[in-house]
Amino acid sequence: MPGAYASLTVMGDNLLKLIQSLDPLFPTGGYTLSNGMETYTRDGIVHDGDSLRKHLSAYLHMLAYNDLAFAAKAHEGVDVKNLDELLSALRAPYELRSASVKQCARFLTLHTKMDNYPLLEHYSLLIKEKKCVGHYPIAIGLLIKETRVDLQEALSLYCYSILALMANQAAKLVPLRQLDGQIALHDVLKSVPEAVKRAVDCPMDELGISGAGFDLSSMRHEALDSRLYIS
Amino acid sequence: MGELYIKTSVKNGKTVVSDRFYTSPFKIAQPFYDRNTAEIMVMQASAGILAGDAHRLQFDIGAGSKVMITGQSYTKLFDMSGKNAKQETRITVAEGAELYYMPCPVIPFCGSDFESRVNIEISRNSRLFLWDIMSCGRVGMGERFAFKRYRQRMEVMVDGRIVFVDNARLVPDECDVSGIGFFEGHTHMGTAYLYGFEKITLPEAQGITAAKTKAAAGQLVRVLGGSGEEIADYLKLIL
Repeated sequence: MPGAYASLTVMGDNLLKLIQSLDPLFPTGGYTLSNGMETYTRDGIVHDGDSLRKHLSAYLHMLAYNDLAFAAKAHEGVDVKNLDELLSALRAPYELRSASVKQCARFLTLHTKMDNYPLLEHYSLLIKEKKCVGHYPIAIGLLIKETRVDLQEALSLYCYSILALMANQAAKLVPLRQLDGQIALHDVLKSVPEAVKRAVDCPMDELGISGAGFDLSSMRHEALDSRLYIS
Repeated sequence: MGELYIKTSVKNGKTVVSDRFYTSPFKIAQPFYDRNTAEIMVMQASAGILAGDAHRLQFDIGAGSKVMITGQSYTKLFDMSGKNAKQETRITVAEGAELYYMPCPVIPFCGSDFESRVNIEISRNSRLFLWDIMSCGRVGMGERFAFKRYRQRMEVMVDGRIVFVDNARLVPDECDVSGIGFFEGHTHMGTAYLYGFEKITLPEAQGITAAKTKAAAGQLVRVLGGSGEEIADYLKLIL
């Protein structure tokens, strides 16, 4: 993690708290999601290290306008009710939408037991009052704000956690040697700073840029006859 | 700049065009009828969309109207040599009305840069079928992903709430959209959104990839295939 040491000295334990929340071991259910990867491996489109690298690289491009940009907007203070409604409308594939909602619910429950960040409590309240459904990227953006970790650094960590999980699921599904999964991931990390910058600069009307192929991989997953993952 | 305005209403049980206004290059023909549905074909006198074009279209589908809006063959987006073109479409669908919005497939030529906004407001008990079909270029000539930029944002609101947004931003220079995640080796892409319809079943498809899902409200179908007609024919089977 570049800059982690420097950040730690000024940030106290805030950076670590963010890292903990984004860790694949943080029980938000991330390990049950493949976000379409199961369809790609089933079809043989992702079948080795190189095809995984291509997938992750395209996925990263899409993430910049989606999960990362929504987190950035929530951090910026854009009204969460608007963001929440917009994210539901944009994330049309059912499994992707419901994964985001489930992960958010678990994430907020865990946080209410560990700390009391007003922005997360406010979002929980809006969800309880049914004014929001609750989406994971928005909750992450609010957490970043609360921890006061530098936005670009925090989004890089968030992006890393999404890509690392995906590489890991692919390695299990294909299956690949762990090393091949890690090499593909390592290669794609070069483009993370650019994606983060794109997310931070994303105009409101470019939020949620879709990729027909990514949507289809999730929509077709709904109809797969045997599935290891819930998305 | 071209403008088109069409308003429909129901007169003696029949859907009619009750108001209209258009400037070059737009024209509309007399609607023809398939049972109770009025089909309105929007025609363009020009060969396609050119640099500097800024078209504005508005359709107000009055209470109880049943309308199908179609176009002629294809919408060609020409080489804009560093300039761009824009189109803004506003649609309202009133209580109990039914709209099938089926514009013709879009072909973005080499060097085209196009930005389109489609905003649709419907009410809870209206019905909407909407599609969008595009190719990656003049495939017959071997032209693929040679356009500069293709932007289209479609937003559907039901009683003031945003329920569906489809946001396409294809910039081949920034990201290889021919591969994984986007066109995935296909040359054509189609999207259909339905609101107010029973749960659909997808017809069997050969040579195309298609799937459906339940959106936040309504249903979404996405298709990747090898020609605009093929995708249009497939999507028509859903209805």
